[in-house]
Amino acid sequence: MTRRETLLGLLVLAAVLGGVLWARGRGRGERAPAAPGGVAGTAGATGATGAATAAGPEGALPDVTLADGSVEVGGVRLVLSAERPILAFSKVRWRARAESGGAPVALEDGRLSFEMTMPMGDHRYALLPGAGGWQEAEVVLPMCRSGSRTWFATLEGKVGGKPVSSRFRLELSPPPEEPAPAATPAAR
Amino acid sequence: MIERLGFLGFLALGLVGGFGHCVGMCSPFVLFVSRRSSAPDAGRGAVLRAQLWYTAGRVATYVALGALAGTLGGVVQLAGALLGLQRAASVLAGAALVVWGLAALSDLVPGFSAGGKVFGRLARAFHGHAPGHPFAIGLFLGLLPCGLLYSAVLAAVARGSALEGAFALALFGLGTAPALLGVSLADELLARRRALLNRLSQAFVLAMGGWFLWTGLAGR
Repeated sequence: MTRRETLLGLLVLAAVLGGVLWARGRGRGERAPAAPGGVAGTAGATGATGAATAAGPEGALPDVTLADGSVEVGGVRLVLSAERPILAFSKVRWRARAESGGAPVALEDGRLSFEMTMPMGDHRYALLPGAGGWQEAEVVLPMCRSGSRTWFATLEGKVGGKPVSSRFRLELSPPPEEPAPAATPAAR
Repeated sequence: MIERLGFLGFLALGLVGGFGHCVGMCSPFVLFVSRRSSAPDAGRGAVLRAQLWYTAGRVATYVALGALAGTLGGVVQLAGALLGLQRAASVLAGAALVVWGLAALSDLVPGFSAGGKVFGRLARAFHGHAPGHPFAIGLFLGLLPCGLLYSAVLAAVARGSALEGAFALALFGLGTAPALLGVSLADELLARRRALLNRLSQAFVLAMGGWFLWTGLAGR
């Protein structure tokens, strides 16, 4: 009886641990967006403080925490900008646009999604047209109690009918004690 | 504009998040409910009943939060209203786990058994005042600050109505159940009646209680 219970317990524990691995793997899979027929950009990325290198560890992604980030994708530069500080539980306006030769080009079906290492679900936003060729979305991100504040943003869309996508990273700031003040626009 | 998540998406969010998120963050509460709500020799049925009541309590709180999000029309307002309440819930829940863990482990210290010393008294006082039924514990612990829950509430806002928000959050809560019931069952089969593993799980509850207490007090 005890042996049977132990085996059953180990089986249940293995199922739980298998589920944890499945959930983590699913999250990782979703963070690597495919761009069928298009280009997934990482090479030539520039972040807040300078150049970031090509595809690889998530730490190499352009960081948009303190300044705008951009990624070169097949001759098109995808630029991502946010109101700062990027506060948890607060509405933060995000802007994105595509540029070619320094001038904005149309980014169709623009979408912005956010995820982090701890499974927190999909935070997907459709970008709406704004001024100056920018597309915008008002985003609210929650804070994870595990202590991790690193999120990953994925910008997707089409340029000239061809799908493009790029990833960025950001550090979320904790919410203020009192209701959030209006975030200051990013320096352009 | 946040994209609308289908109802099945809420169930999937709970299921995936249950394994990837809740197993790590909420296991101590599951163990706490199992140990507190049924005697060690009560059997698997009693543990399962306690866990189902606990889950029902959590889901009821989630339903209320979903309805509230739909009514307020934005999670920012909801977050503002709940942040203080949730921090208090974190402190109380952490304190409960710490007291329970210390009382459970106090017999390891010679002359410091749970019979008449500080933590025993604290534990008795706690038993007299804390919610006793697992449904009530679930109602209360559903208020704990949780990033995954906020993600679900954010998505529920996009449903645009209190009724749909409540239903969506109910599906989310039910989705988290399999992972946590699995933790409870594994604990019942492996740890509860085995001295060393039982001690380890008590120490785990104590450590996590301390962490919840600290994060609640520090406002992290």
